[in-house]
Amino acid sequence: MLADYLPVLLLFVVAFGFVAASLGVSALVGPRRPNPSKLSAYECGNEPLAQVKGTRFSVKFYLVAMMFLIFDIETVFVYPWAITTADLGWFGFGQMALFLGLLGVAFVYEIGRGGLTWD
Amino acid sequence: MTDLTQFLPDIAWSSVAPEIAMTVAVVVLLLMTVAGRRRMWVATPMGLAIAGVGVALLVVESTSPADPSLPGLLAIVAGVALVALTFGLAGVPRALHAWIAGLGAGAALVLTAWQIFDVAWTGSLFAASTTMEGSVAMDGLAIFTRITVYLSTLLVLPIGFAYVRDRNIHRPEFEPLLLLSAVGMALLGAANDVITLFIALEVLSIALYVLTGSARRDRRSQEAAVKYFVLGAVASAILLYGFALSYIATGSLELPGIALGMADPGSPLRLLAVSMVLVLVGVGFKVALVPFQLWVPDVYEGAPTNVTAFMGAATKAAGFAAMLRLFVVAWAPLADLWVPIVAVLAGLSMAYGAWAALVQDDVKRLLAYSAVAHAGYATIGIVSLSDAGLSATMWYLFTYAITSITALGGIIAIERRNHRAVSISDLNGLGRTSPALAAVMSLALLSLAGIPPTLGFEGKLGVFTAGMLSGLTWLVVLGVVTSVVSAFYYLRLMGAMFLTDPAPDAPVPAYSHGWNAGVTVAAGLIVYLGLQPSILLDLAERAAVLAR
Amino acid sequence: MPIGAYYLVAAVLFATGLAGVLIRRNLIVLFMCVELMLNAVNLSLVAAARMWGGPEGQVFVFFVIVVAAAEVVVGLALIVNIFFRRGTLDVDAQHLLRH
Repeated sequence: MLADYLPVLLLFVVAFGFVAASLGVSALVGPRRPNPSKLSAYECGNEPLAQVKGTRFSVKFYLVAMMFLIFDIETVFVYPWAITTADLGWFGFGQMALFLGLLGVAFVYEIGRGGLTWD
Repeated sequence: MTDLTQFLPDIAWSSVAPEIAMTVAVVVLLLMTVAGRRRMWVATPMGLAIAGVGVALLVVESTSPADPSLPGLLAIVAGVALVALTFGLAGVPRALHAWIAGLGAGAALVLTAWQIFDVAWTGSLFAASTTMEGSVAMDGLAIFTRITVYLSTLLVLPIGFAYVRDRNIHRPEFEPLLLLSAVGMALLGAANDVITLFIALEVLSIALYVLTGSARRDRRSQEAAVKYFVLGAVASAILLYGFALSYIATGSLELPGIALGMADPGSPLRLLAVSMVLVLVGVGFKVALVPFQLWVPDVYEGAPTNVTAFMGAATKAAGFAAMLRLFVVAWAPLADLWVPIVAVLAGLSMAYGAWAALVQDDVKRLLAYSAVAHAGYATIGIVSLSDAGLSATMWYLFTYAITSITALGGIIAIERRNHRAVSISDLNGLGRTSPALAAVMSLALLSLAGIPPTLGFEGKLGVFTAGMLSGLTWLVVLGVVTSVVSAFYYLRLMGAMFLTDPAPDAPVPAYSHGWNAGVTVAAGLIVYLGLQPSILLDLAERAAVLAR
Repeated sequence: MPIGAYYLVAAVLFATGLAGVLIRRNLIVLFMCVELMLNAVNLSLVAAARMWGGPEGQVFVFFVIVVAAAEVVVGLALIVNIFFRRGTLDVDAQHLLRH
């Protein structure tokens, strides 16, 4: 029932309320006297060596992420079959084998074309 | 545990036999690509397996020795052909892949013919029934869409073969994507519930997005692909929301069920009207009706020309098949509402397409605007809301597919050795320098203009007649007027070819065996079916029975 | 909670996505807006499936999710490719095809 979730809701309310209240109060009553040494990066770390924008990282990350996404999402079809497999019998097994077989072809192709090769 | 076996669907595999053949071809192509030089190790077992399935079908399905199972025979031939091709073309993998793709499309076409002539699986093909729990229709519209789509595939494969090589844009994914896209199109014509329809639409679209961007070093191609993708994804989402709303209103995802729910006097009409508009936006985008045609010129221009030819011909046929089924079957109870809207869109498309094409200088863009106009003509058959209109639309799309493939085939020959877009002045004097090419292109242009006795005339005659019979006089008059206007720019192209002198730096057309074969067949069909349309026209007329 | 609330939230989500598609110019953001629209569809479908008491709506949602993932992959591949070619993701920067 929805009422069972009331404590969770309360927790959310309290958590957000606490954050909002402390941020709000400190912004309202806290003194604010900035000076150059306070604003320098030294107070909270090192000077950045390079601009974050423009930093290139390997396009292979995209490739692997995309491959993962596809094969991960396809499993959504396996779950309903998994819980009804006993009832669906050989018919369901055959259909799922067909589906996984086609997926397997795609997987073989992906590996064969070097989709998961790191260099 | 409940017993679910009673819910197991009855699947008539023969109803999707052409799609199965295409999918097997895709699997073979993918595995052969991976195998590389060791492709024999893939081709032999696959060929044997296919032939083995054929033998099994022959034993199980044949009614008598005199009447063998055609799919069985076909599978045996295809399996043997696969192994033979792999041996014969071992040194030229690209040609081998194109041949295997052609084998798949050819097998699909033969199986479609089998579906027409072997009525054993339904009693009567044109009785229109469904299979897979009502998801897939077995009726004339499905069959006729298959003919158009698979014939287009079979024509585009050889025509574009040398073109992709010379432009250096070939990748092993090309043929599998083309075949997958064709499978999506064929299924779109057969989809009888919105889930199948959506999946088919996405299969064809996603493959086409990639194909459009397949020239990876060409910025035009890349940008066309991104544009097509973004607009296409939005159109799909809008279409999908239309389906969701109709599901909310009627509680059914099957097209006949949606119609039943709508006919119920208690159904929420306003919600259904909104869902109708959303669906119209979605399919209007796919078939390129004004005002959803924004992507057409850029995508036609940017895509590799053989992809443009395939997209223009086959996607249109498939998109209209889906539109027909959606509006004539599912939204039939709301016909009073959508017929005027769609008729106005048809009129706008004809007028805008004809007008915008007048001022184009790039031939591919010109043909793109003419495609918008042709979408308008094909729509006349839908708003006619009659069996005559239905068959006229199917027949029109077939004629348009063959004709536009021929016209773009001509562009492919001119563009092949010449790495830039073809403008009208590039056609100058073509009648003197390459008379055969100029003759073929003129034939295609005359057919696009609808001048008798070409195939295009037969198509236009059909939709205009259907429109007149349904009392859409204003639309037909507009159609005739815009046809005359469009004849002007088609004739302008012909004038460039025959009445002007060739420029010294004119591009030199290049031909190949595949191009010759494909374009000859397409041009032959324009002439032959223009004179003898009855063969396929009769089929289209008999096919005008939809599964409900 | 009345079923209408779900439909309303879905409609708002869909309208937000559509507005974003029309207004925003960054390809990735356009992309996110399309996802928003698709998820609005999913929400309507599951709510409607609950209302009608049938499984079809839920089955449809599975397919929408999978197709959306496939679309994301193809779209991201195109976008990454065009970004490396041009260094910008602004749609208006695609001037080559505008005549």
